[in-house]
Amino acid sequence: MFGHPEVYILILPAMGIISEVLPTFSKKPLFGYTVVVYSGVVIAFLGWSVWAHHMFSSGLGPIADSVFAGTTMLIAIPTGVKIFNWIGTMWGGQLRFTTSMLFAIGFIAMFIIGGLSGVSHAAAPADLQQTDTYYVVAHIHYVLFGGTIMGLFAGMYYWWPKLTGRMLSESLGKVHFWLTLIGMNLAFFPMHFSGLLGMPRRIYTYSSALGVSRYNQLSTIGALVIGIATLVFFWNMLRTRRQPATAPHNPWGGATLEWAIPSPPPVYNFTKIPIVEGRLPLWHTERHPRMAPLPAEPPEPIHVPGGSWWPMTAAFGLPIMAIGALSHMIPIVLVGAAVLIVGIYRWAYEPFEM
Amino acid sequence: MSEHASTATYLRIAAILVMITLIEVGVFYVPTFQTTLVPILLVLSAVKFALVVMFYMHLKFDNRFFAVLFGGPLLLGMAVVISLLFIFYGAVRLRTGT
Amino acid sequence: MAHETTHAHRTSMGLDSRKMAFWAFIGSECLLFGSLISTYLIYKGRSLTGPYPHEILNIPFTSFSTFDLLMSSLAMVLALAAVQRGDMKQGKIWLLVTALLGLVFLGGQFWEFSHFLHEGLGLTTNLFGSTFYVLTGTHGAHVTVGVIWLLTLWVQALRGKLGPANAMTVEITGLYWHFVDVVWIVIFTVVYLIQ
Repeated sequence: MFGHPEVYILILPAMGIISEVLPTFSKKPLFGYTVVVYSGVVIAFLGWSVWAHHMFSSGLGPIADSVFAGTTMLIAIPTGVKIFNWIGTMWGGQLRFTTSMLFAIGFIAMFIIGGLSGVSHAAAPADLQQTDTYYVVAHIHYVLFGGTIMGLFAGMYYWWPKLTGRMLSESLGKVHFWLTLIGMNLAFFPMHFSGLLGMPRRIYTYSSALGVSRYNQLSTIGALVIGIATLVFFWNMLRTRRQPATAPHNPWGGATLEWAIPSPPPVYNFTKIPIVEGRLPLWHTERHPRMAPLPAEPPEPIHVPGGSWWPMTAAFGLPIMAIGALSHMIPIVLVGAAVLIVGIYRWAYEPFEM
Repeated sequence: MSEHASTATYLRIAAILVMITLIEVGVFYVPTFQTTLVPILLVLSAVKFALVVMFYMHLKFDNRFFAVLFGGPLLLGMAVVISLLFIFYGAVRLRTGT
Repeated sequence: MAHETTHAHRTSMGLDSRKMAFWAFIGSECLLFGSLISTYLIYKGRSLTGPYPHEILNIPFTSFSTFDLLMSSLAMVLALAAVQRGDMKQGKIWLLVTALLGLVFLGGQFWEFSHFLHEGLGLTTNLFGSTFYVLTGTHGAHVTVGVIWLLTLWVQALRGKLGPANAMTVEITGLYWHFVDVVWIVIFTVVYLIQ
């Protein structure tokens, strides 16, 4: 009941990132924006109704099995809708294959593969063979690594200039991308086969008689390739520390508001509240011209609320309570509760002006 | 702010709530009602629930959207409770053959 | 509260955003208590060892607790009405009464729990113990938070910081408190009366 909604929490932000990155590098608005948004909502909602597909082998009975198989297949529909809309975004667009875009396209491809193995899990009879084998490990890594992680990389390359004022190296980025793509497929594709041949999950060794040794060796090589790729990425990030923060406002020609302000943004973000006439304020569209540029300096003084330590303090009360409960020590629970309560009160009563 | 019930109405509802509670406890103790105990109690508590939510929480007079925000999850929760009861009590009947 | 609520907390639908958020929260609480109640119901009658519900639950005592919470809801709604019309004297009184009735309920719960423990029903004794204490304990924790909340409001009122201008704060407190009462109505019926 936690686990399945949790993985939708993992993938939906990455999907959001892709929905920002693809239009920018296709020079086209997101195809079917409204439908993409509603599909996301439907996925989030249906995500609560599928959880027992993780329990097909626990003897739930035919009715429960069928219901959950049905809802699990159903959730593939809005997901597929989003995928087609992303492809529609790229179709006929003026594509620029920056590293960010490469990761976004990689996301689509890898997530489709992961989704297909996921749909095969949805069929309860088939899942009886697949469950608790490496076939599932293949699925989760295609959707999590090929999906979420690649989506996050796409986002990092995209927003790094905005965050830090420095551009990540495109050549290193492309090395990172291709090594990741190759490494990931090398690591996880063979797992489809080793899983169906019977290799269980969560084991530390297996008999060579199982016949999956070759596949596992390929996975090991793939994992090493991914490791090297990630080191390249870390190097890329570290390199930028030595650069001056000279990234332009809008290095990618994006359409959304964050690109209207300097990189990195000033503490108040916008010098004045922009007037926005659509979802793509920085682009000239059929419905509206490009938004007027914002003044370089704020025309009026801007009040920025001060930071506060109290929310974090309040939050720290909770793990203290949990640790106390786990170690069966009531005094620690009470200390945690006190931290939480004091934190909340001081947060609530903090003066607005700081 | 939308229309308000008067103090008298609130007191009247409180009286009704107390009476229903007394009836519930009464029904619990009177042996003749034992067979129909569950439906009667469920109906009575549903009435109490509705009275508190509609009047004390002002839902009857407020914008319908609040009712949607509350009613949706409420129905969902009830559906889950009932489905779980069917799954688990159905299984018991099958195993024990009763 | 300390900050000026001069910026209208309006959403594009014209509804107060805090009230909307709170109703959404109450919706989520329906799901929380729904899961705890279903857990109780599923394991009802399946404890392998005693004490069993019919041996240990005290209906007259719990009826009094129910009556107490119902009266606290009445006090809450009277407090809100008073604050909304600017009668802070009444408002303070009824807020305090609500909190005190809540404390009486909590006292009753403490007494009941310690009595049950004494009779041999602990959290890990049997299925009844586990499901019962988690359900009523979670409810009790909610009541505790509510009492702290009410007393905080009362102190605010004593300091002159509460009035018709920020009556929404009291209204939302009321929503929380009535919801806690409503959950108890369900628990009383399902746990105590239907055995």
